[in-house]
Amino acid sequence: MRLMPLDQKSNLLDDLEKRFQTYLFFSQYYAGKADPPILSWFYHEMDSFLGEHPLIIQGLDLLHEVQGEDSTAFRYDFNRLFVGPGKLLAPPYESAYLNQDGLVMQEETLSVRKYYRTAGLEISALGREPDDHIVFQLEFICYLLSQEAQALNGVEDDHINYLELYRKFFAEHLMIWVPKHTRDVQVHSQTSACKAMGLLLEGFLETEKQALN
Amino acid sequence: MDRRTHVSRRTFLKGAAATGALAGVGSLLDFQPVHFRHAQARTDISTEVFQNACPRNCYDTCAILTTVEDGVIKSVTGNPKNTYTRGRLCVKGNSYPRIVYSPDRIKYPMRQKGRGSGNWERISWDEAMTEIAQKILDIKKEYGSTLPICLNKYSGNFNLLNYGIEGMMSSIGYTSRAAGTPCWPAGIDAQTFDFGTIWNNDPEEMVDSKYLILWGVNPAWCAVHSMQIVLEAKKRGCKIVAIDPLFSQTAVKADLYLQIKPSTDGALALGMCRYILDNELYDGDWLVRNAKGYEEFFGYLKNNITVEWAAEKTGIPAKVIENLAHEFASVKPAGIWIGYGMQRHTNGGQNVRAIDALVAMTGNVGIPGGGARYAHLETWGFNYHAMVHSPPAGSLGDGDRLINMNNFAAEVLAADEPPIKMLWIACRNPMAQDPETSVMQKAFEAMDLVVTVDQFMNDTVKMSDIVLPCTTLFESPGINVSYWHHWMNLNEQAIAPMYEAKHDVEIAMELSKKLNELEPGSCSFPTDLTMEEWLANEFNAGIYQLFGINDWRELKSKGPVKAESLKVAWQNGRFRTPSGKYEFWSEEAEKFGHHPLPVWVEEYKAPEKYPFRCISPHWKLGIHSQFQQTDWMEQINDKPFVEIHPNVAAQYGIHEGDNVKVYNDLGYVIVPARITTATSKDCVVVYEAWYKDKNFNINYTVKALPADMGSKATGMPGIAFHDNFVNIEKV
Repeated sequence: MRLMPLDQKSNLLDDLEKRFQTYLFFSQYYAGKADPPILSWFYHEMDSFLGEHPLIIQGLDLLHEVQGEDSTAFRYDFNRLFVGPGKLLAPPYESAYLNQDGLVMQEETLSVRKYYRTAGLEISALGREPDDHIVFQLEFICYLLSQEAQALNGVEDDHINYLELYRKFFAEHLMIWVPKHTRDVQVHSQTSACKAMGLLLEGFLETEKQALN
Repeated sequence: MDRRTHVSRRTFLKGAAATGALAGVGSLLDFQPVHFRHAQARTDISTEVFQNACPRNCYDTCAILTTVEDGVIKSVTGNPKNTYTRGRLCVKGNSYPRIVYSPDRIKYPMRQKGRGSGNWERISWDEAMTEIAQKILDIKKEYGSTLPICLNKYSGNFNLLNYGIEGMMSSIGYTSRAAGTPCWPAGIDAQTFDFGTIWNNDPEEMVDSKYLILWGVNPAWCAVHSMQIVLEAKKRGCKIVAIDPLFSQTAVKADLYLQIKPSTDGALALGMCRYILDNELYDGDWLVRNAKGYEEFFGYLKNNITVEWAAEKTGIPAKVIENLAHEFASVKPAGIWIGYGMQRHTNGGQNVRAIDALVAMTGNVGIPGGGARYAHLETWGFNYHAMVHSPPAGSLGDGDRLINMNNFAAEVLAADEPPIKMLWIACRNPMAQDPETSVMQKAFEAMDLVVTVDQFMNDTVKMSDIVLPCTTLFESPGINVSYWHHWMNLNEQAIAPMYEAKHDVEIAMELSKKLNELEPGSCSFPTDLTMEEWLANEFNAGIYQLFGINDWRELKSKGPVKAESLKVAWQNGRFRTPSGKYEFWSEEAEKFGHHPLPVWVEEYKAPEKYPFRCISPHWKLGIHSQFQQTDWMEQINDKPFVEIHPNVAAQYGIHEGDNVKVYNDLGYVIVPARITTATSKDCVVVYEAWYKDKNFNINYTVKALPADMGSKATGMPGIAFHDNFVNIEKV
């Protein structure tokens, strides 16, 4: 199924929920909290609301193979791509892709920091981790979606248009660099799990891009 | 089954609940982000400027000013208050933010499953400390001491506080230690025999020289701030002579360049001495007042040395030697800067003694603008509080076991009763920088545990079990002095440590805590000091007096300070030799197995099979294995190469860019050729460096051949890096 456009109010809460869960899952994955058993669960339980984008179909097919995959091999692959200690094969930082010198903590990172502050947040590891790490970006979106849902429910109203903030952040940040990153994942990943998650993320963002337009 | 069947609302919520459970962070309507906090209220983003100090193993040891905005380094520049740095950094210093903010830094403690496998898992600091501490305790139990644990730490960071790593090792008991220095020990011993210790004039007063010989030194690449001084001296009329087997960038700027046959520097100096003696151009008054054994030296010259002989040895025509000697002895002040490259030979120490003798006999010691300038340690009189610790009560053994740093791999493998089972590597990259790389590989393979503390993946990290991330100079405080200029630079913490990086002293405190937790009383390293307290504990009255301050905190407002009283070395004529004089005749030298006089010792000659001397000097874009891996340097040059003389290239059918195998009995490297007359027909040149992701290491060909001197002052002889003989072939 497709993610519904954001302006169809009747389904908005459901829509927010689906997006929220998807972003949350990817953020958990990038935080290193998902291994092949959890990814298999993802395959069984959540595949249906990711949409029909070809990359998603491809990713889900690949994820099917993950069930038999060795957790250790996945972990080493994950670290080679995103953690280190060697040169990162698919750096999880926006700045690593967009900064002209490929450095973190430059203009690009600080622009993300500014976004967080607009929503009244900053990362707890301020100055210690680059603010534009994918985990933070995904979790930030979860926060925006959650705030929007709470506003809809009349829980909070602090005059911030969270949906608009999400739309802008998606277009100005996530969508600009994550596809470059997931392509690196395709090139360098050695396990189905990492490859599949890259395909799914890219497919999901492509679908979301359509939905947000 | 078709996966894409419709999912009911109920299933969906089940899934949602499971995701929430995985996250432990609630659901859409009750979400608390775990990696965020409420933004601190701020009215403006302040810009602050911090003092930093370049801690690299470099003459220049620069004072840096770092501009920080919102906790992020915006720029670095030289601190103009330090008149040696003069407000400018070199390309390496200017690249520092790129090191701090490279996405490829080592960020977290990690453990490799299978040394060299590339299979790494992330672990917490606590897990890392537990595993290391447990291994230390197991070793102690099995072998009855901590001697199977070996530390290899040296020049990667000369912040005084980094000696805390040695301190940590001392705090667990007696251990094995890489001892000595690969850099400069032969020259240190030479000057120790002659003067009593090393002490060079303030390099800033080189501008007052009337005649300056840059002997085996390349400041245009390796001490750029001094090059500025050399050029200023030249502008003021000083004649600049460069003596080097290689036509270096420094030589390009000189008034006269002499391409000497490598390792014959002593012959040239002695030939000059003979000419000066014959023509009575020496400073008899100075010798009478200050020198011991000059008559014996003169006798040696008369009986053994001629200018013609020197010409034959050095490849420099007799007439040129006479002119050089005449000029050098006829103007005052005349000085010589003796480089470290020229003492990396089996006769390197003797060659330095001969050059010292040349400067001394012309009365150029102890005067402004003169001097036999090599290095100094006069400003290094700190407490070494971080370094000096007693072993815990009841430690067995009678001291640390010294492992020659210059033959490290072989000595680690040979160590017995007890063997060496664990390596701790800090501030070093021995897999890339030490001789006999393949033996080093075996030594690493023989260990039970290898721990490396570093900032980037390199050949040594690749061969480690656990890697611990360490801070850059901007992320921890410290204090730095130079072995060349006379300044002291405070290093302030400018930004928070990125990721989970820790300073060596913090790592030592963590390990000490863990050891004592597992076995109370097993480590005496203090665990309750702040970094600022560690820093404060390094200072003493002597340092305060030397630098004219009352408290180190003054440096925060005052900036860098200079030890003005050290300006002219040996001006007071009180030498620190046994006789209190400058010693042409040194009984100390004799005690260490050398001739008491600065005599000629034959150079190491090329064996028939390996006709070329392979010189591996320092590279302009790096310091040993640091800096070349950064993107800036890679953009300028990311290819190692071998420099070959055109005649040799023609003889071997080698053209520019051809791949050339440089080899000997030990190993080989394959690198593209650069055809140049900068080197001679007897030498090929491969600059030593570590290139990220490149299978290049000239040390595969370098034997752990000791230099003649070094044992007196540094505990171990130096290493004859430049007595490496190879053959070449086009591949």
